[in-house]
Amino acid sequence: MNESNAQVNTQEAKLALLLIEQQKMKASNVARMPIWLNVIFSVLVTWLVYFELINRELRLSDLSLPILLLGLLVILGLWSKHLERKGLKVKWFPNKKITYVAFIIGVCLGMFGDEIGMYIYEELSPWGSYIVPLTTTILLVYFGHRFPLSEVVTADVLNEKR
Amino acid sequence: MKSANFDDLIHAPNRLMICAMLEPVSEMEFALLKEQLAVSDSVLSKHLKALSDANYLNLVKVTQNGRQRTWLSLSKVGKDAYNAHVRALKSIVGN
Repeated sequence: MNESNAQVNTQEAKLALLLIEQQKMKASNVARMPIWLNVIFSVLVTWLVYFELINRELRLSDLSLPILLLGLLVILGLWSKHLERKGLKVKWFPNKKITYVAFIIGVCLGMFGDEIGMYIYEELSPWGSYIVPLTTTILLVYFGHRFPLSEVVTADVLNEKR
Repeated sequence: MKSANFDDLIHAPNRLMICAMLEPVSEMEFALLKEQLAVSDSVLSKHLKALSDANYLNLVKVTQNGRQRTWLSLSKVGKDAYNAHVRALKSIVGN
């Protein structure tokens, strides 16, 4: 740290950090999907993971997997275009901890999906088969709404917004 | 461990806000940034030039549908400087 650091007191540093958080909140507000689109997107992702990839006994048909994948890509593509028209280009793989955690969970599901699916189906059937995906959907909606840019915004700024 | 470095250029409120808006996104257009910061064209341009002169900022001008749009993003140098500055602020606060 250089000499300027000594001239900045704690209060000024706190204000600067609050200013940063406020701007992150503004950027997040621009990038945030409307809640209805977020819910549709999360339901499709959950459906794809649980009923098309993990527990295939509950899948609708042979065609549902490509249709779901196409639907998700179309939603992401259209939302990306919409943001671009507004003047924002988002990072598809932000260099943040939360992104890597989600990626690792995805890889684990890919590797152990069958075992997890069979466990859920046999041990928690019939309600567990639906409660786990429902919980996943709720979590996806929450995280998608709360961290649209994979940015953590402090409680102070969130409280200020309310 | 990543180093903390207080940066006078970034610390000015408007430039700090610009960096904070640009850091989490890939690119942002001049008009949207101006709207979010609620500043005039000339004020924003002045601060962008200061950041650009320090190689903290990438500016790309493109013409879309007959309209010129200026896309802004933090350069690698700018991101590193901004993140080091945030770490310095946190160390002052005591986080």
